[in-house]
Amino acid sequence: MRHSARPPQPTPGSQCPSFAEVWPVLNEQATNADLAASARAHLATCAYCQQQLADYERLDLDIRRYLGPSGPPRYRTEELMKDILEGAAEQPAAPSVPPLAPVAPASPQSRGTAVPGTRRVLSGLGALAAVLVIALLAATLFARFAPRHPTPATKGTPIVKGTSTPPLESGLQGQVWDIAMVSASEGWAVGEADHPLANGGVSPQALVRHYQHGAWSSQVLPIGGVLTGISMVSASEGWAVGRGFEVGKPDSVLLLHYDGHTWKQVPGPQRADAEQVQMLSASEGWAVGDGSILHYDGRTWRRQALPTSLGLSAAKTIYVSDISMLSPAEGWAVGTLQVNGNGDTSKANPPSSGVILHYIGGYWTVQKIIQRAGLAGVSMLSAADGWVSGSISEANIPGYTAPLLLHYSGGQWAQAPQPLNLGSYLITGSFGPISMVSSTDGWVTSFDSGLLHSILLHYDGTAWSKVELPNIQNIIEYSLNNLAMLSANEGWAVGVVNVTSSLASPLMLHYLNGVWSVYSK
Amino acid sequence: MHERLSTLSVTLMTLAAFTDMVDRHQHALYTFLRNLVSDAEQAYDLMQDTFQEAWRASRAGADPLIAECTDDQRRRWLFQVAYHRGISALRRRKLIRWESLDLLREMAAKPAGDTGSFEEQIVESEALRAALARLTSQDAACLLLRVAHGFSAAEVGQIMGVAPNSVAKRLSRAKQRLRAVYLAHNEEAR
Repeated sequence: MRHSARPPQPTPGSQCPSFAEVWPVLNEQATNADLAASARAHLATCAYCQQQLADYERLDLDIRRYLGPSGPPRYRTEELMKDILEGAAEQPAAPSVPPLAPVAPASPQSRGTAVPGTRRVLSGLGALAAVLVIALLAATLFARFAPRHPTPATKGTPIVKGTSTPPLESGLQGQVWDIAMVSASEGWAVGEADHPLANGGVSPQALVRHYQHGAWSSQVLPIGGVLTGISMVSASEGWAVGRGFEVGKPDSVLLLHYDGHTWKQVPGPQRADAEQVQMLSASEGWAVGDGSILHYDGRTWRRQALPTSLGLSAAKTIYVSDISMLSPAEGWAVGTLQVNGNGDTSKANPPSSGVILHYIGGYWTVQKIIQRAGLAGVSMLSAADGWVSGSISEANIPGYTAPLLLHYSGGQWAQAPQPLNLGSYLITGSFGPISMVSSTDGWVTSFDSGLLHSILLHYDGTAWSKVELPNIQNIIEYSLNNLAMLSANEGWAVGVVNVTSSLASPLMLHYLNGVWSVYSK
Repeated sequence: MHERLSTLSVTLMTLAAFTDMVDRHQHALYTFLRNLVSDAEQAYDLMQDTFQEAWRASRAGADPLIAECTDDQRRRWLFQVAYHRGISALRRRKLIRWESLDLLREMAAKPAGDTGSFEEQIVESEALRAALARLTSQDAACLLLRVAHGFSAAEVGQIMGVAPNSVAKRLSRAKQRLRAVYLAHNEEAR
């Protein structure tokens, strides 16, 4: 969109903000017709909105020009066909089902919308086998796409406190990524604040929130970047980590120390990444991120050697997503191995695997590798009891992931039974951060891709069940990025709520004595 | 296999028809995936996976990978599979989608050449990709499908598994964010 120099910008009038969301989609059928008509009437007399609309039209042109399929194909079809046929022959034929509900036929003469395969007329043993496969598939699909049913209330199930007002915090746009409570009356949270630029753009800036006297206050630090993890040892000692964006420099790891008065940035290792942190004491801590496990010895953060058995290379990388240390001598970390190679190597191996790492005796070792999985969270209660959350690809339904929970008990990791009554959430499902309070109490986050909001599941010692969160109305979507439980009766979950298409605000949910409610000033 | 399938009421695609379909859609599919996952090699792998799934579906006589279906139906199916594979790959790669503004800054630091020059087009396209990477994966996919690939909002909804109304909201949000970042780049570049 680098066109001729822009003339002096017209200034917006009082009505202009109400049409800001219309200009990008003015000609979309789904745009409210009355609103579009009002917008067009306003447009005739408003130079500012004319400029806005012209910008979007130029943006559309550039998207089509630069991101559309123009130019010659990059690959030769005959070579591509060779790869396709060879690859298809290497893999066992999976029952073919469409990835979602079938797309409606374009013309009436097209056939109906029954599950593919049910129209076939087969005979003999092949038919019997096919019927069994189809029945299994139909049952699976029915279970997946069945209407949502409310989870029946049971004894001990946390109840929900609804709200009808968006949890807007005036003056603060951005989101919260992690939270660490020191006590029920004091805690910290970190994230990013949208920092508006003079030219209309935005850039993220490190956000720190402090909970005291029953209220959250915010401080936007003069550091470009995003804070994604925090761990407090006490009210006067803690660390926050994330990634820094600084003009003219490569992205860098952010390591911020709190000394009881201020948050100060300290230098970190080159080419390191830290997205989660766990401090065991003021002089002992760990941080994990993309390709990195870092250790703090009271003076310096240093990269730790990753197990050589992982075979890491430029083509095979690991994203370490979470860590749970039990002591300076023992802990666990989880992540995802990604194969970025090409050729036969990538075809012969699954594209990614979940990895559980165990730290003992001063070394990180590979405890378990789960094919086709990605691991997001780990919460260990003891050396013999813990949980891991993540997702696993469905072998029979390409492109889909199912939520995954692993329980460590008796020295073995075992997949936990899938929670029931999850409805549309099961479509491309995954579990996010997990927080165990005890062996009979825990929480894990997930996202309902159908309803566009996060969900929480609660563990009561025997099963995981979904807990409905506060019904926040008049918003587009909300998601929870992390949670911290103080006890079985109290905790916090943090994230972001998109109040409008252009307004994202931090979201803080408070759990107290069985009730989840939205924090608002 | 052929004996069993001879009793079906559908007609399998021939290899020639399948090859023709690959030829017709491979470039668009690759372009979509390349811009979605921001990685050329992974985009190729995902495209290949998508076509392999299409091949298996076509051998099983699954709708719409059969002779009776239209090319538009097959195109939607291909993008549907590619979209879910792309999103799934991104989730596996990183649960948080980090994208750097460095590219934008590098682009902004480069002196602008004559309008429309080849070099400037490269800079523009890379800047737009970097700006796109600042969106959520779903918003980016929505924008690409609707604007760059010309699917209707209803088709985008079917591909992404969301309601058309939700498509419009995502589209509005995506364009506003893209405009803010992309404009910022262009202002810096001046």
